[in-house]
Order: sequence, then structure tokens, then C-alpha cells
Amino acid sequence: MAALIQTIYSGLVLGAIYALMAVGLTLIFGALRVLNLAHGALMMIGAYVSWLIADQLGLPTFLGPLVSFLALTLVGFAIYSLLIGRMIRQPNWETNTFIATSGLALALESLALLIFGPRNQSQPFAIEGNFAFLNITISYQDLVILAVAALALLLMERFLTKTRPGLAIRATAQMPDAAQLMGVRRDHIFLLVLGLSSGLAALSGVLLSSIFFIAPTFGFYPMLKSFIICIFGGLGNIRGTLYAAFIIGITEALVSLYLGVRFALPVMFGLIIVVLIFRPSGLFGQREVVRL
Amino acid sequence: MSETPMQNALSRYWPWFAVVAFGALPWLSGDRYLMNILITFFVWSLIVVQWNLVLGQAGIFSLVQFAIFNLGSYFTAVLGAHLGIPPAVSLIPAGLFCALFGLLVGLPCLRLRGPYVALLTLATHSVVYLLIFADTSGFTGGGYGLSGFGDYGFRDLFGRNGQLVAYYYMALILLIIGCLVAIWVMHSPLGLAFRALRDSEGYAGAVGISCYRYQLIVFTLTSFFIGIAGSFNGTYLGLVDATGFDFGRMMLLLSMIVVGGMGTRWGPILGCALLMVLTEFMRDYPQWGPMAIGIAVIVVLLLFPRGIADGLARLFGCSGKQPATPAPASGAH
Repeated sequence: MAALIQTIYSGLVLGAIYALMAVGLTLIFGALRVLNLAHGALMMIGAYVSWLIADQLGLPTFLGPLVSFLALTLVGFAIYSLLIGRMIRQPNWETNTFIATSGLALALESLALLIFGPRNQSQPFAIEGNFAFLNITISYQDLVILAVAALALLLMERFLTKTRPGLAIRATAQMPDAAQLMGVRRDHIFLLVLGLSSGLAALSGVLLSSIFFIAPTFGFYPMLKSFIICIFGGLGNIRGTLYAAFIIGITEALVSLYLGVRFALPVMFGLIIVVLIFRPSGLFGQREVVRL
Repeated sequence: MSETPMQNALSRYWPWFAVVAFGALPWLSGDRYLMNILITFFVWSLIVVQWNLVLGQAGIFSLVQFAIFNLGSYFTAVLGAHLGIPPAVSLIPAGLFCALFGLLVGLPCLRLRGPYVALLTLATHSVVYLLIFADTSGFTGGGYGLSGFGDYGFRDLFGRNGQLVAYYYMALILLIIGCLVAIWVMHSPLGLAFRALRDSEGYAGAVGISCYRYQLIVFTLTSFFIGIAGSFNGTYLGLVDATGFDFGRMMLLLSMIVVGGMGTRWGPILGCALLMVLTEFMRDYPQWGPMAIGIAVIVVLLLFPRGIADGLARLFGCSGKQPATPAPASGAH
């Protein structure tokens, strides 16, 4: 019983990180209809930036995630203005952005390998120690993760529902043409979305690496999981993605406990295949109305 | 544009000239390095030509084809290693097995639209990979892979030097068959149906063209040839292991198609040749290789959104006919 509660608890922590990752992906898809395969590489860069700040430069650790968020927001701007923005609305843009972002991921990963080497680094943004509460062991780092993730998600929720740029993002996601007619500059919105999403990727990279490690390719499987979460929750559907992140996080923890870690991914993929057969737009996705 | 008969013949029959040139090559140069590179080129070209039918003609953004290629290798390796069935016997069954697998994957996947297809097929790829990689029963060899499962017996027939040439011709013949089938599909009722679906899905549906059914047919058919390519490649290398599922290599093959020109007849082979040349060129600088490829792909796509084949045609102003525009990969607008 204690093992079960402990597992569900660690599933919640994982879910919080996944939520941050997946929300960034689903934001981009919702507004731009682009699958960003560089998301995992951006997480990795974000984790390294935080490591550089706190470990290499010796600055206060709490600056790590902050600087990482800001730096990757700028990287996101650059990716939009140099790459995705130039492809969007060109012929084949859906395929081309997919291929180009995966090419970017490849380039970023090999760049990181060149600069930082293949050795795993540990994330300095981590607090040692733990305490027991109702038979479950809770580490301080888990609380930090939950706090940061909750804060980031709450701020984003406020941003998307209460501010004008946030509303414009949601309007563009719902109906791009109508939003444009209401005076929303589409390019600005896309730029903003890419910056925000990359910043969230950085933040989730810092958090994830604080319980695992940092390596040039460590973002790939988390990204794959985020994609699963996104299709589970319905691509572009932020609320659904949040639910899905926690469902997947807890499922992963349970499968790892009862079947073994190596079955965690296959079981999840199997689950998603079954879900999509019965609900082709995801568990919380709304069926898109297709008019001829 | 007026063309001399010579030019006309060249532009019309150049694929056959290329076949003759490749066919004559082993007599001109028996360089083992060149032979090996060209065999890989033929195998990859076969995959991208078939995959291109799925992506560019049928408009299915499927990523599972590379896993099917590997399954073809594994089919032959497992049969050879455990039952002693020679690869020559299991070549066609490997294709059939992969066609069946393609059909089973296609049944649920092709009901979905756009990005969901891409992500679900990517998930399928990862499941196959992880299951094989984590297999400790020895059936698939797990992380170690399988080797010593036999070959086509070319060494006994043609000797040590003839062996490579035999593999070379076999790969070339498989590629020619693959290309002929691809061209046939493009011009068959299947191709016409896809053109109709691309132009107006609603109208095509109204006259009784079932998108799902035709997509399933192409998916299964191409899986057959990709499986054969896999079976051949596994036998040729003599080793089948889970690193074959490498995501980077899958994206490289996909990039070949897109860089060359998705949906065009020869674009994917052109893309394959270009990226393979780049890969070989970067072999001396392994740490820069992936970056060079990633950047090259991005630059090409920024300059030529429809791929190199179309870009070249435009540059030289001989774009006589509109290249086949592939259907949008996503149904979402």
C-alpha cells in the first residue's frame, strides 16, 4: 500500500514536469499547426544553460531556471524568425517544418556534444534531503519541482486568460482568420508562442534534469512522451494536455513499479494507440468539424 | 521549347541510361568501397522511393516505414538464426510479413488525420524498437542483435570478389523493380484516385473513391517492398541489431525524400544521393556530421520548399509541367 501511494506520488511529480513540456508543444501546435521536433533539444539546451549559470559561473542557483527561461525564449524568437516563420505558408510547410525542426534538433544536439562533451552532468538546481510524511518519502527537490511547475502553469493560465496577448494567442488558435480580422498580428502571435513554448521547454528541462541528469540527447524520450501526452489530451487543447500529463505520469510510475521500467514506454505507446482507435482526436480533444 | 531528338531521347530515357551505367560499373571499377556505398545507396533509394509513395502520393505522413524496414531484416535474421531457414528463402516471406504488419498498423492509423498519423506511427516505431531492444529472451538478440544467420550463398557461386558484385546487382535489380512499381502506382487507377482526392476530397468521395481503402492498399504494397529491402540489407550486412532503429537515421531517410522533392518521381533518389554524398564527405569529421546534415536540410528547405528536383527545374527554367504537389500532410487547417 505504501509502495502504491509512493508510486502515485512520484507519478504526480513526473506529471508536473510533463505538463510543462507538453503544454509548450501543444501551444505551438494549437496556434501554428506545427509539430516542433526541436522541443527536446530546447529542453536540453535549457538544462545546460542553468548548469552553466550555477555550476560553471557560480551564480546563485535560483538564477538558473530564470536565466534559462529567458535565454530560451530568445532562442525561440530566433527559431521563429529564422526558420519556422520563413516556412509557414510556403508550399509543403507542414512537412517542411517537421523535417526542419528535426534537423535543428540534430544540429543542436551535436553542437551540445561538441561544447559540453558526452559526459552526464548533474543539475545544480537541486536541494538534497527528504522527509517522511504519512509513510511516503518526499524529497525537498520534489517540492521544488511541484512549486515551480505549479507557479509556471498558473502564470501561464493567467497570461492566456487575462492578458491581451494571451487572448490573442487563444483567438489565433481557435480561428486564425477571424483573429486576424480583429486586428491580431499573426506573425507577432506566432513569435510570442514560439518564445513562450521554448521558455517552458527550458524550464521543464531544468526540472527534469534535476532528478535525472543532463546529456546532449537526454531530451528525446521526454519529447516523445510529451507528444504522447499531447495526442492523449488532444493536440492544441491545453486543459486536456494538463490532465493527460498527470494521467501519463502516474501510469508511467505504476507500470514501472509493477511491470518494470523497460515496459513503461511500450505500455504507454500501446495505451495511446488504443485510445486513438476509439477517440481519434485524443481523450479530451474535440472532433474537428470537417466541411467539404 | 524546341528540343533536338537527342535531347528529347535523353530527357525521356535517362533513367534507362542510368541503369545501363550502373549495370556496367562493376566491370569498369571493382573498388570495394564504391561497391559498398552504392549497395547502401540502392537499398536506401528503394526505401525512399516506396516511402515517397506513402508520403507524397497517398498523402499519409507516416513514420513507421523505417521500423518496417528493420522488421524485414529481423524476420530473415530470426528465421535464419533459430530455424536455419536461408535468407534466400525468407526474402519474399519477409516482404509478406511486413505487408501484413503494414496492414495491421494502417488499419487504425489511417483512420486518423494529419499530425495524429505522424505521432501514432512514430509511437509504433518506438514500441517496436523498445520491445526488440528490451528483449532478453534471445529471440531477437535484444541489444546484441543477431548475426551468422546465413546468406544467399553468393560466395560459393561467384567467389570472394564476385560476392560483392552479386549483392550489387541484386540491390540494383530490387531498386529497378521498386521504381517500376512506384511509377506504375503513380499512373494506375490508384494514382488517379489520389490525384482526385488531393484536388478535392469531397468531390472524390462523392463519386465513390474511398480514401481509406486506397491509402490502405498503398500502405500495404509499399510495406512489402520495404520489407524486402530490409531482408536484403540484413543479409548483406550479416548483422541485424536494434541500432538499425536509430531515430537520426530515420530522419535522414525522411529528409532525403523531402529534400529531393516529396511526391515527385525521381526527387527522393536525388535527395538520397545528395545526402549520402554529404554523409560520406563528412565521414572524416564525425563530430560535425550530424550538424552539417541538419543545417543542409534546413537550408535546402528554406530555399526550395518543394525540394531540390523542383528547385533545379525552376532554376533552369525548364519546368514544363507542374510537379505533383503532395497532399498537405495535415488535415487540419
